[in-house]
Amino acid sequence: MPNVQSFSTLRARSYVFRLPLFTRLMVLAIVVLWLVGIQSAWDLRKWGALIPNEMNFFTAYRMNTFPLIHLNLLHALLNLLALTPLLERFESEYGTLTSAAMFFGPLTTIPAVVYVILERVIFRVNTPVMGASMWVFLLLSVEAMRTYKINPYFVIGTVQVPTWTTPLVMAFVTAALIPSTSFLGHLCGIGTGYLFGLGYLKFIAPPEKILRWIEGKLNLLRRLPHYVSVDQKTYGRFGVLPSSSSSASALFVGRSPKLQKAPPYISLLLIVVGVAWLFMLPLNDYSRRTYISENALLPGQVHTYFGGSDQNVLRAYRHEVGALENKTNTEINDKLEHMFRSMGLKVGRQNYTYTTSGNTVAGENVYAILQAPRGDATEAIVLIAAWRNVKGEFNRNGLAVALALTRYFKRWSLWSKDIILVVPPDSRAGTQAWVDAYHDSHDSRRVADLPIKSGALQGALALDYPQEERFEGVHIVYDGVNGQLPNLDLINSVTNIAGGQMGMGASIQHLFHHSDQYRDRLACMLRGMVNQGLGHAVGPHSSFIPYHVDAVTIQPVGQGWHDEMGLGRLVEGTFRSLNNLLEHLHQSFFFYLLMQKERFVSIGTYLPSAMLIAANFTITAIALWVKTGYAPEKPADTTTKDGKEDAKEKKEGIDAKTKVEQKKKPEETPVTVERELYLPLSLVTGCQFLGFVPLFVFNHAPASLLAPLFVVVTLLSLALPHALSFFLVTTYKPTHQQYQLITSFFLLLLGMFLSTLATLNFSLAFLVGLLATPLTFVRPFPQLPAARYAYSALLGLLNPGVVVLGAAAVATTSLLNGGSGLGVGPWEAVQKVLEEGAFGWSVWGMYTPLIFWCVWFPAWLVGSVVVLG
Amino acid sequence: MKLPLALLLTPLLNIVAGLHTSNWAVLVGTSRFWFNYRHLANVLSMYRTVKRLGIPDSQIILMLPDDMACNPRNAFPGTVYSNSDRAVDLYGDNIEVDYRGYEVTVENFIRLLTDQMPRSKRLLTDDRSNIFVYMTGHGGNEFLKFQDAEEIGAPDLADAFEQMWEKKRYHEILFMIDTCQANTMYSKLYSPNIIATGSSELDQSSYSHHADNDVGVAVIDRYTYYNLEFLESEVRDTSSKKTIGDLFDSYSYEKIHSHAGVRYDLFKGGADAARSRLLTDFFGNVQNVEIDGTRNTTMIDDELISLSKTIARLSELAHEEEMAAKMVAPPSQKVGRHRRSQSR
Repeated sequence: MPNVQSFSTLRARSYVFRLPLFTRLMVLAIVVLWLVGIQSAWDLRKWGALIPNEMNFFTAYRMNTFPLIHLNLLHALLNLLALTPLLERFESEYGTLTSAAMFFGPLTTIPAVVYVILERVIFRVNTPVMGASMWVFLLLSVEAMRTYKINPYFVIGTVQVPTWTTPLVMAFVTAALIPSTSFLGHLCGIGTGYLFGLGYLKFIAPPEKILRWIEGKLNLLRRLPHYVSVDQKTYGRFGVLPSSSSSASALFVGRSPKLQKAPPYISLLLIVVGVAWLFMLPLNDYSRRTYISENALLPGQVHTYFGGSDQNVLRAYRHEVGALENKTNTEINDKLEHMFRSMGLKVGRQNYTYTTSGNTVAGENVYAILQAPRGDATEAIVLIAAWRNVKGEFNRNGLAVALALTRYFKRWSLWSKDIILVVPPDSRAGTQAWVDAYHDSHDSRRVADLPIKSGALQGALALDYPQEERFEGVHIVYDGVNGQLPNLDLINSVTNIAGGQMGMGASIQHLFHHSDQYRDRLACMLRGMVNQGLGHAVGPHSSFIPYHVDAVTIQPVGQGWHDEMGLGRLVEGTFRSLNNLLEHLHQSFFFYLLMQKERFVSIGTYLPSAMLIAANFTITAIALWVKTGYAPEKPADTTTKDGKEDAKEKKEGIDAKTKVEQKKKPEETPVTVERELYLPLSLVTGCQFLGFVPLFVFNHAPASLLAPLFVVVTLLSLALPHALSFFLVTTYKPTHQQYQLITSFFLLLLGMFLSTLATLNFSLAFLVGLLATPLTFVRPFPQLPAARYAYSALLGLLNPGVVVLGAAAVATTSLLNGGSGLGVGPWEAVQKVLEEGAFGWSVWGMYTPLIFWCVWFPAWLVGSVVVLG
Repeated sequence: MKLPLALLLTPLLNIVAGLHTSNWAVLVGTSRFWFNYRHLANVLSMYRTVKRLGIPDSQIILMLPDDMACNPRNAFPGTVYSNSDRAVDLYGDNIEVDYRGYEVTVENFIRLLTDQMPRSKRLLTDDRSNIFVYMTGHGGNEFLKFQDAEEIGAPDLADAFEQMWEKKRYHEILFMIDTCQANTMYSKLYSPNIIATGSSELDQSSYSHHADNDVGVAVIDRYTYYNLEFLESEVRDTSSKKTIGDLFDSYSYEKIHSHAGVRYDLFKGGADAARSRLLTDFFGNVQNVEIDGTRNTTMIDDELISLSKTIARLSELAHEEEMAAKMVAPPSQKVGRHRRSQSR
C-alpha cells in the first residue's frame, strides 16, 4: 500500500515518462477526442457513443469508439486517472501488440455486444453509453481474479469476503455515488474481465509466434519508442519501477524549487481573479433578469380599489396621527388602541426595554390583528408602520396609510391569512422585540410576551413615508440583519406591481436614477454589499428576515404625482399577491446580489469571488506548513539563521536556473525536521483570544466613551505588534521555521473562517478577505529594514481600527449613505458606528463585531508580528 | 354485377350497426390551489355544456380536486366564473360533483374508467355508449399531473382505454385534453374507435385566455374557451348537425396560440368517418333505439335495392338490344368472344 509519504514528483514524473506506447496512445486519443468534442458544429458524442438502437453493420465502429469518447472534462479526467495505471500494467505484462489487438478487438467488442444485446432484447431500452470506465472495470476484475487466486478472502470482522467481489462492490458504489453511470455497462465490463481473468478468453489472444514474427520483421522495438515487446514483458505486478526509494520520501512541494516558489503566485492569482470576478458580475453575461418563480403570487393581476372615499378616511387618520406627534408613547398607544378597537380589531400591546452602551431603549409596541373572515388563522401577513423611521423622522403619512388600509382591508372578505398591523415606536428595537416575542425567542426580562398572536408569518411590508409631498417612485429597502435577504420573489412582486400596475418607478440602494449601465449596476451592487457586510438593520423589516419571514420596507421618494392612495394601492396589490400564497416563499433565491431592480446574480455566480480570496489564505497556509517540514537544502544553522536566510533564498534561485545540471548530480536527500509547534500555536491562540477583549469592551462601554476608547484601542493595537515582536525576539528568539508556522496557522484560521462566512454573509467575507489580503504575503524581513517598515506601515494602514476611522471620515463626506452623508462629523460618525455595533450585538444578534474583533483583528495582529520579526 | 353492389352496401350496413344508445361524459380537472382556478373553470364550463345538450347528471362523472367557490381568496364567495363578464355562475345551484378533493387520484380515475370502483359513482357504460372524456390540468411530455402528488402517463391512459374496449365499455370515445404538451397524452392510445384532440404539441405550452382582475386569476384556458365558443354558438341544441370536423376545423393557431392536435387513425373509417360524426354524438344526449333498422336506413336500403333493380333491368335491356342487333352472327361465337375480351 503506497502511502502519501512515499509519493514523490520524481517518481510520478518518471512513471509518466515511462508509460508504455499503447497506454500513451489511448490517453492521447481520449484527450484528443475530448478536445474534438468541445466544438459544437459536429456532435462527436452522437457519432461515437454506443447507442443500442442504432447498432447495425455500418455503425459497428461505435463498438471501438465508445470507450474513447467522454461526456465532459470531469468524466474524461476521472476515467483517465483510473485507466492509466491499469492499462499500463496490462500492457507491460502482455506487450504493446497484444494490448492493441485485445483492446481494439475482443476486450472492447465482447462487452459492447453483450451490452447491446441486453439493452435491446431483454430490457428493451436504449441507453447510450460512452467512456473508458468499462475498460477500467474490466481491468479491475482481471486484477481481482488474479488476487483471488493468491489471496482468496479478506476478513471483515468474522465475515470472509471473497476478493473477486471488489470490482462489483466498486461498480455499486460508483453507481450510487455518480449519477448517470451505466451500471449495466460496467457489469458487462466486469463480466468480460472475470472471464479473461479466469483464462477462458486466452484463446482470443494472438499467438506469440505470430507476434514475434511481426516484431522481428518490422523491427518494432527499435522503431517505436516505449514499445513493450513480447519478450520484454515483465509479468509485471510488482515490476521494476524507475526510481529507487532513497529520494522517495519528500512531499512534492518540499522537493521542487519551482513548486516551492509557486504558492505566493497562486495566492496572488486567486486574489486577482477573485476581485476581477466581482467586477465581471454586472455584465450582461453574468447577471440575469429577475423573474417571478412562485406561480401563486400572480403580482399585478388584480384591480386595486383603495381610493375614492378612502381618501377622506386617510385624511382623517393623518389629522389624528398628526395631533399625536408630540405625545408620549403610552398616550399614542392608548389612542391607537382605541382606533383599532373601533375598527373591530383585536389589539395587543407589548413593552420592551433594551440596554446597550449605557443607554436604555424602551418603548411599547401596539398591534392589531385583522382576522381573515373566511381563513383559518394559521397564517398571517404583517404591515408595519413604525412611529419613527430609522432616521428618527416622524412617519406621519406611513402610519395614516397603514391605518386607512387596515380599515379598508377589513371590508374585504377574501383574506386567506390574518393581517397584523404593527406600530412600534421606533424602527430599530420595537420590531425586533415584537418579532422575537412572536416567535417566543425573546428574553422575557427585557421584552414582554405578546398577549395575542396569529398564525405563522408569511411576509411583512413596512411603510416608511415621513415626507409630506406627493412622490415619484418607491424605494425598496430589503437588507436584513446579518446580511440575510428576503426571498427575491417578494422584491420582484413589489417591483412588478409598482412598475407594471401603478406606474411608479421602483429603486433600490438609493440609486434613484439607475441608467442600467455598468457603472450604475456596479455601484448598486457595491452599496448592497456594504449594507450586507455591515449586517445592521436598515429598516423595520430587517428584524423579520432572520426568522425567515420575507420582508421589505417601502419608502416613497422624489417629487412626483403619486399620492398616498397610490402607495396604499401598491400595498393592497402586494398583499393580494401574498394572500395568494399557498406556502412560504421558497421558489426564488435567498442569496443574491441585486444590481438593478430587475437584474441580479445568484449565489452560484458570485460566491467563487469570496471563496477564491478565502482560498488564497488557505493555500499559502498549507504551502508554509509543508515547507516547515524540511530543512533548507543547505541547512542553515538555525541559531544564526538570520544571516543566511537570504543567501539561502538566492541559492534557491540559482537552483532553479541550474536545475538541469543539478539533476545529473546525485540527489541530495532532504532533511526532514521536527516542527516546533509550541510557540506558534500559543501565539496564534493567544492573539485569537485577545480579540475578545475589545469585543467585550465595545459592547459594554457607555456611549460617550466609545469614540475615545476606540481611538485608544486603535493606537494600542498599532503599538501592540511592536511590543509583542520585541518580547518574542528577546525572549524566545523564534526561528525562521517558527515564523513560518505562525503565519501558516493564522492564515489557516483566517481562510477557514472566511470561507465559512462566505456562505452566510458573502459581502462581509469578501470585504474582510480583501482588506486582509496583504497578510498572505507576510514574512520576516531580517535583512531588509526598509521592506520591513514599509510592509508594517502598509499593514498599519489596514489595521481594523484605522480602516473604521478612515471609513467614518469618508462616510461623513461622501455618498455612502444615500448621497447626503451622515450629517455629522467624523467623531460622531465613529461613535455612531460603534453604538450601532453594540446595539446590533445586543438587540439584533448582529455578528459583525465578532468577525471584526475575533477574525480580522487577530489575523492582522499576528501578521504584523511576523512582519516585524 | 351483384358483387360491387354488395361492397357498396357494407359501409352502409356498418352505419346501421354503429349507432350508440347512451351518452356519458367524464370531466376531470386535475389541479388544485387557487392559482389554478382556470382549470376548474374549464371543467365546469364543459360540465355546463354537456348538461345543456342533455346529458343528465347521472351520466356525467365530474372530478373536481379543489373547491374554488369556497376558497377564502375568492372575492365572490360561492361562485366560479369562466369569463370576466361574470355572466354565468358555473357553480350555480345545480351541480353534482362526483369525485372531489383528494378523491381525485390517478387510481380512482383509472378504476372509474375500467369499472373497478365498487362503492362510488360508476361509469356504467356498455358497448353502445359514446363517452366524452375531458381532462385539464398541468401536464408535460406524456403525463398529466394529478394534484401535485402524482401523475398519469400516456401509456397508463392508453391501457385504461384498451381495457375499456376489451370489457366492451364503450362504443366510441371523444378524448379532449387541455394542458401543456397535451397532444403527447393521446399519442400512446391504441384502442379502436377513439377520436382524440389536444390543445398543444410536444414542447408547447397551453395558454390561458384571460384573467379576471377582480378574482385576481386567469379564469379559462384558450383551447377550452374556443371549444366552448364553437359549441355555444354553433351547437345550440341537440338538433344541430355540426360535425366533429367542423369543430376541429375551427381551431387555429391565431386563436389558441398553440397547435391543437387531432387524431383519427384509431377510428374505424379513419378521418372521414370521424370527422362526419355529429358533435351531439358526444356532447349531447341523442339516444338511438336499437331495433331492426331505423327509418332512415330502411329508406336507403329500399332506394338501393330499387336502384340495383333498375340497373339490372337496364343491363338486361341493353343485352337484349345487343342480341337483336347482332342476330346475323351465330350467337355462341359472339358470346365466346365477349367472354374472352372480358377475361383479358
